[in-house]
Amino acid sequence: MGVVGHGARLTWGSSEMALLEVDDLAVRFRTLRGEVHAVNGVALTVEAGETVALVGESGSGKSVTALSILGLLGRAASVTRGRVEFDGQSLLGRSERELRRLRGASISMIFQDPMSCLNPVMTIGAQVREVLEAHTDMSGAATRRRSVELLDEVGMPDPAERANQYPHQFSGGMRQRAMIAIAIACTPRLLIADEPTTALDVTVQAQILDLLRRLIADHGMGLLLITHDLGVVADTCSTTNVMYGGRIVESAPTRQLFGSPAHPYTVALLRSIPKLDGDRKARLLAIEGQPPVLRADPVGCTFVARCGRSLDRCRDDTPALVEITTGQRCACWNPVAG
Amino acid sequence: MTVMLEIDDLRVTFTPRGGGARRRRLEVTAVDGVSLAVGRRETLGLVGESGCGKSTFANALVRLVPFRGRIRLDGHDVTNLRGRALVNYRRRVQLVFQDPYASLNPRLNVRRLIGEPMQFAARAAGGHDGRDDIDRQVTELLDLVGLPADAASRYPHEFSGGQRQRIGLARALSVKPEVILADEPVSALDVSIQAQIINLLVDLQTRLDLTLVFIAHDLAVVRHVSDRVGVMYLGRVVELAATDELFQRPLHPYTVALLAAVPVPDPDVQASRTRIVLSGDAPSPLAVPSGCRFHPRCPIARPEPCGSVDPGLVEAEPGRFVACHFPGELQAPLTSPGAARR
Repeated sequence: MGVVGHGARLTWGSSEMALLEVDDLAVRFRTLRGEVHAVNGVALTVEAGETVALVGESGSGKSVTALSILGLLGRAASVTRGRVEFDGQSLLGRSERELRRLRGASISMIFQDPMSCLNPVMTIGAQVREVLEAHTDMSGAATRRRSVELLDEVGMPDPAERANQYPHQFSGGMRQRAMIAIAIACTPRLLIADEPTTALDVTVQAQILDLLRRLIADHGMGLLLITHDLGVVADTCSTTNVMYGGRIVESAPTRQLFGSPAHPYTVALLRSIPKLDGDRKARLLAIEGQPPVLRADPVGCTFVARCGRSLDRCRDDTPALVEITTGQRCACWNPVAG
Repeated sequence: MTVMLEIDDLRVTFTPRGGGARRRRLEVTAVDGVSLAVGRRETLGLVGESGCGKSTFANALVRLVPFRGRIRLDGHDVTNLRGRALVNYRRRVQLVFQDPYASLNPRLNVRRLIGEPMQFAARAAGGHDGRDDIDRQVTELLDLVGLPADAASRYPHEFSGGQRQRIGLARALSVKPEVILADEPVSALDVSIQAQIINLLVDLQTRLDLTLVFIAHDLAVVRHVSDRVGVMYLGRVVELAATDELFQRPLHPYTVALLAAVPVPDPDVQASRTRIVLSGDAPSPLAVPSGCRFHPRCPIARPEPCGSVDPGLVEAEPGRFVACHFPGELQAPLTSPGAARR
C-alpha cells in the first residue's frame, strides 16, 4: 500500500463537528408535470470511520440526498431549505469552482453503473491519473506509478497491464473496482456510494463489499452507503437511516434497527423480504399500495396511506424525527414499541 | 408426480457478432446440455448469476431461439413443431418477462394488451371470440391479478412497475396456459412490491393449477416459491435438489459459495456467518475452462481430476443431482439464526 494524501486535502477547520452533517434538507424538481418534492427535511450525520446506510425504495429520495451533498443535482432541481456541512463548513451555496476542488479530493462518489460512469475512450489508468492530476501536484511519472498502485489496492489483477486497457475490456466487477480506485485516489475523507453493488452478481458483490470494508478500515474514511438491499445494510453499516417519501422515517444503530424497528414502514419492510431461513411458502407480508408521488409539499406522514397503525392526526400533522430510545430516532405518531 | 415438461440435453449456441467471429467459427455455448423434468403443478426454481444461461434456457423452451436437444410437453415431443401446432404449444407455455417497462407495447391499452393474445389463440384454435366475450374475460383477468376494471382503457405508462408486472401476468394468463416461465419477474421491482407480486404468483399457481418455472438470481426469492431448485453455472445445471435440502445442505461448492455471498438482513447473523468469497468473475462462455467448469474459482478444486475431467450431473443421493467430484466437501455456511449464534 502506497503513501496516501499527497497534500491534496483542502484544509478544513477541524473541530468536534461530525464529518458530514445534513439537516432539514429539502429538494424540489421542476418537471413538465409540475413540481416534485423529492426530499423533504432529511437529517443525517456521518462520523469519520463510520459506515452509514441510507436505505429506501426507488423514489424515496435517497440518491437525490446524495447528489445534493456534492452539488450535483442539475438545473431542474433546487435545494429549498436545509443545511449540509462537511467538517463544519457549509457545502450549500458554494461556487462550482470550490465544489470541484472538493469532489474527488475530500468527498468522492461511487455510482451504481460503472459502465456509464467511466469514459469509454480513455484507458482506466488515464482515468485514475486524471483525478491525481486535478487535485495533486504529483509529476507525470508519479501519477503513473500511483495509478497502478491504486488499481492494485482495489484488487485488480495485473494492474500495470490493466491500466492500459479500456472500460469495455473489463467485467462489471472490475469496472466497479476501477471506479473505486478513482474515488479513493486522493484519499477522500468521505465516500458516498450510491447502490455500488446493485448491478453486480452476488459473488462479485461480496468481493466489492469486502473491499469497501477494508478501505474504510485502512483509511478511516466515512462512508455513506445508499442502497435498497437490507442484506447489504446488515452486512456493512453501523448506523442505518430509513427513507420513505422524501423523509427519514427511522434512524438507529443497525443492530437496534433490525432488532427492534419502531416505524411501521421499517417493520413492514423487514417483514416483506423473503429470507434464506424463513418459513417457505408462507405468504409474504407485502406492503399493499404504492409509494406516494410527491407532487406537493407533503402534509402529514407520507406512509399514512399504506400504514396499518395510522391515527387521525397522521393525515395532517407531520411527525418529527425524535429520539424514542437511546440512539434510535423515529418519525411516527404511533411507533411500534420494542 | 406426473411430468409436465421434460427437457433432454438442451443446447443453445450463438455466434457472436463482429471481430471475425463467424470466420473464426467462434461459438458461445450459452446453454450446454441441460436435462430437466418439471412435474405438473410443480415450481422449479432456476438460480444463477448473469451469463449462466438461465434466460436463454427459458427462451429456448418457448422456441424463441434455435436449440439442439429435445423438449416434451405432457409426453408429446414439441421439438420440431411447426405452424398451428407450434402456436398451440406457445399458448400452453407462456413467458413472463423481467422488465415490465420494455415488455408491454406502450401504444396499446391494457384491453388490447390482454385481449389480443386471447383473440389470436381463439383464431388459431379455429373459433373466434366475440367482442363482449373478450371484454368480459379481460375484466376477469384484471380482477384475478388485482387490478381495477377501469385499468382496461389505460396505457402502460400510467401504471407503476408492480402494476405493469400484474398486466404482464394477466397477458400471459389470457391464453389459458398450463406452464408459466417467469424470467426474473420481480427483480425490477422494489422490495415492498416484490412481495405483492410473489404472493400473487403463488396464489395464481394454486388457483389455476399452473406448472411454474421460476428463474431468478435472488436466492431468497427462489427459495420462497420453489419446490425444487436448479443452480446454473456457465450454461450447465450444477446442482438440482428439493428446495429445503439444497438450502440446508448444499453439495456443490458453487451453491455453498453463492449462499454464503448473499448478505442476510440480520446484522447478528451476518456478523457470525462464515465468509466464502470466491475470487474473480465467472469465466466467459467463449472460453469455458477444461474439466469442471467451476474449478478455477473453486475453493476445494484439485488439479486432478477437477482440472481435466468434466463431472456430469449425477444423482449423488436419491433425488439430488450434483456435478462435482467432491460433493459436500465444502462446508455449508450458517444460514439459520439459531445455528449462527453459536
